[in-house]
Amino acid sequence: MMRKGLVAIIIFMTVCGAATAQSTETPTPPPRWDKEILDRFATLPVQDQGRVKPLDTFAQFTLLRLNGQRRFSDEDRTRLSSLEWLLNVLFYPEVAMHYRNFLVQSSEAVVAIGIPAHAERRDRYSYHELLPGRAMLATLAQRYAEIPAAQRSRVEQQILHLATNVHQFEELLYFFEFARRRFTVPGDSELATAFPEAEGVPLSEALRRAPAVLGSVRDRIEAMDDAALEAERAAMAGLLNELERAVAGSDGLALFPPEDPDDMTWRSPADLAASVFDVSRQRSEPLDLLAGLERLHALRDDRAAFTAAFNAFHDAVTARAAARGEYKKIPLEVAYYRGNYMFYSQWLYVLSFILIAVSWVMPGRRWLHYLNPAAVAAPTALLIIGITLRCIIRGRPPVTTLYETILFCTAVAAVTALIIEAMSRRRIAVAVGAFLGALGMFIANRYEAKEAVDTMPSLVAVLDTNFWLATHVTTIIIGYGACFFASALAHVCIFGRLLKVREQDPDFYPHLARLVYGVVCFGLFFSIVGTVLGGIWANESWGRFWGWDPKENGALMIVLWGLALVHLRLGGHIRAMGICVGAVVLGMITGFAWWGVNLLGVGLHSYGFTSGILNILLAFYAMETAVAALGILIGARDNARDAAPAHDCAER
Amino acid sequence: MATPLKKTLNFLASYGFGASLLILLLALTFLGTLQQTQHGIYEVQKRYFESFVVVHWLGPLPLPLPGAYLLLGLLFINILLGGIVRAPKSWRRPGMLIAHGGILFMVFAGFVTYHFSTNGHMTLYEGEQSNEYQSFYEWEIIIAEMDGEGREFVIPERDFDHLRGGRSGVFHVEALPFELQVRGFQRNCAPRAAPDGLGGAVDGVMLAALPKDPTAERNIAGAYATVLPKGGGAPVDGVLWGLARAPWTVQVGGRTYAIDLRHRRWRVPFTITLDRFVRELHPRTGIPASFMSIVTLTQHGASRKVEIKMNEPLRHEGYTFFQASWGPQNAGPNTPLFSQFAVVNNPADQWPLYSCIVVTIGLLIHFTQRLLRHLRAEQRRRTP
Repeated sequence: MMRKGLVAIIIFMTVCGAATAQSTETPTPPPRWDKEILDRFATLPVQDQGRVKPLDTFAQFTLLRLNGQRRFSDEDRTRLSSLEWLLNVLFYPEVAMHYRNFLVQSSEAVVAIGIPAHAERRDRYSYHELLPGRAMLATLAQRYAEIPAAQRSRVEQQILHLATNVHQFEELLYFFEFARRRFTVPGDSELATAFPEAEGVPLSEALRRAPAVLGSVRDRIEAMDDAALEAERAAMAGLLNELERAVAGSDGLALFPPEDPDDMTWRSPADLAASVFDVSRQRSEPLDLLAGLERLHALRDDRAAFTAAFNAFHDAVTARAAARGEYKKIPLEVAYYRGNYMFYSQWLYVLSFILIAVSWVMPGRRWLHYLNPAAVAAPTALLIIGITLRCIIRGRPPVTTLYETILFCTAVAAVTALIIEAMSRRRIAVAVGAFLGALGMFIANRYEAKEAVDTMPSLVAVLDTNFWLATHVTTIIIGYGACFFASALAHVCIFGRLLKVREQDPDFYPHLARLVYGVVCFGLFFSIVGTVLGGIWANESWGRFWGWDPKENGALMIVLWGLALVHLRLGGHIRAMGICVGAVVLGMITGFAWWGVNLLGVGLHSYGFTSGILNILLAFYAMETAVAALGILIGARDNARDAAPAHDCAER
Repeated sequence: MATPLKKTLNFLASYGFGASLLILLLALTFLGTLQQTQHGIYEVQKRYFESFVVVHWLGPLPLPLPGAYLLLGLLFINILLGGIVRAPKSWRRPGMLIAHGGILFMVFAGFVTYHFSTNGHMTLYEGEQSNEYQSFYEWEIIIAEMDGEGREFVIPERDFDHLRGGRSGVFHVEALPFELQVRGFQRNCAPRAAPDGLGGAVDGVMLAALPKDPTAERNIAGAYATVLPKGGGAPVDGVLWGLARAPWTVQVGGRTYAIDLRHRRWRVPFTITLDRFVRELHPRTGIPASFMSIVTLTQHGASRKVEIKMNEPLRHEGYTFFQASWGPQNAGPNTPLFSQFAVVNNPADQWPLYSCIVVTIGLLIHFTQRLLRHLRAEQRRRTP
């Protein structure tokens, strides 16, 4: 078995060899890829991170992780899609080596490995630039990996991140190294006689011939003398050594579905080489597909022949994947990402908010008023379509990851806004809905870019239950969405009072406070049910209903505060402004339950841990504390003036 | 004029009192959650959530707070009086009565779970069987007759937990020819060679205190013990430690006794045999896709196969077996694997589910009524 450490060392040696051969001048850019062939490549299935996905998805997230963007602009400002970038890295490594696709957040990280920093502190570097510091990068990364994550400095974290990215890039850059090589077996052995060609044979042919020789030697082993055995052993060791060196960088793409339907692990060229002397496995390995890949590499400069060879390869892979039931959703996933639903949804929300604002300043234009709900409904529909497509692709309920909680929470807030607007028709709810929609989608898109990992990952064992994902998780996120909506609506109330907006309308603020209270109750209902369902799930999987785990406590805090608000209001201890301040605090507690506890790194909900958002959360808490304080001051002024009855939200 | 009793009842049933309890519980939950990063869940659970009073330290300043046990008890009274006894009973608003009833039942389920449930683990290698499970955290001292009737006598942790530092306690069993004195109990310690002349050491061995590990199950307890023969023979000193390779054995009155400090154990009325443990990873990753133990359950001479997986526990005779863990974590292809089951015996096992259904129905009725009333009011407002 080839070990990862060995792979890294060999890659490093290969890289050093390649580096000495490279000139400092950037090679001529390769020809652009035709749209048709890009479309075909997009739907080529590959197994990555435990699931079969389109090559397009793989390319997008790989580039996002390295480059911080889904598109790449090279030196002459030619923009490449992630797929074009990936194909160039695979087929034209001598060019891609010069792509400045490593986003380094702070130049301290490159200075630490002995590379001259660019003028900009945050800038992109090419692999060619980083190469002289490669050994130092590996040494530092190994050292920093031993430091607990929470204790690493920012620069140490960035160096680790850069090392991971460089390693992944190398797995693509040297992927076709095996196809550039030919394999010979010198000497006087049966294995050597199976490789008579002086110029050698390609990997696929070597892997086809070697096991047969091993079988033959095994059959004759009793009759062989020591010298003959030693000759065979030396020949096999030599071939194995050559294979290991050739495929050291070829483990990055698992493109070959195994023929055994019960075998769930797709193969990379490195996997196939690793089983070269495993006679039982080798018989069923997809060597024909490996040969297809070799042909592709050989034909890279003859695009017509390349296209024909690729179509044959694509058809063979997809037919095999389809027979295993692993291809059906690949085209849909490509369509989902190309649809860019989340991106368009974000900007449509922004536009709808602007439209609503315009309708406020032009109260005479009634048609603008009628457009408002539609303006929020359109991006919400896009968002819901996007969520639905994700459900279909994964065969899962809408929320299984932190990223999906943002999408779903945003959708809940927007739908709540539309429902409330239908009941109240004051254009407040839709405005809040548009704002929350834009904010939610902005956070979702930023979070996706920050994490830069597949947002449809394989689930850990405890989450592998559609029943509880569909009930507990969706219910609790509906609660979050409603609580945030109530909080946002309360902001309108507080800032409206502060700026004395529509104070001439005596029913405006009481109405708003009633809406806030209604949404708090709505959120409370789902939070209670969701929290208890979570306890019941925990009882099913961990053996206890309640364990005071931070994630559970976060949900409980929402419930406790919601109940406290309801009872304070029923007892007459708080009135309109009290409800609004309470709703702002509810939003803060929801923020803690949703994101804050993930930073603690404690408890059984380890699949939800996150990092790097502490400052954003602290800014949020500071801002919301100020808003709540403002609300309290306004409430105190109301009480002092005894003007409360006019703004009382008590039942009428 | 309201009597003091009536005033007290009014206060206990009031919205303000209920809301105060909820806010205190919220503050306690928040502080306890933050404390978990330093002290671990088990320790915080004991101090904040299973106590009557807790002192929370704000830097150097002590902040006394009511513990969750006390708060939940008071909340139970508040809901009972305010939400059930004094609540208006009208068919116009049945939802809140039902919901409060459901919440009362849930708090009661928590009380029953806390006082009457047991939980621990059963860890088996493939091919092994057992009819016992043991606590992750609780300890017990066991005195076993090595000959004769082979009887066992158990001293539960609650009886010696307080015997810290210089405090000691003597345990007397009628059937035994000696009394056992226990002292110097420590939650996390390790035996070390004692410096010369150190008082309290036994045969040159002392128990060195270790800082408590936030992961409570990693703490290994220890204590010093002395056997005091009832016939007046010479006392015998010994050291008890949770990870000792063998129990401490003493001879009294011609009989041999084994004395051991171990995690608390419970018997189940059937036997579990681990036939096979199956672990699956998502392909080409280290992400666990599923864990499953195939076990044989034997009782009254009859056996049946059972699969225990994540989210699919085995429930039998009031005991529930959950797939909790496995090991060794870095096992090779031919390394024997063990499977660890979390075992729970909880009379209130399914009560939260029932209360959830009741609360949901209650809240649905109530909020639907409120929504309809609100819509009617809005309709009236719009109609000139």
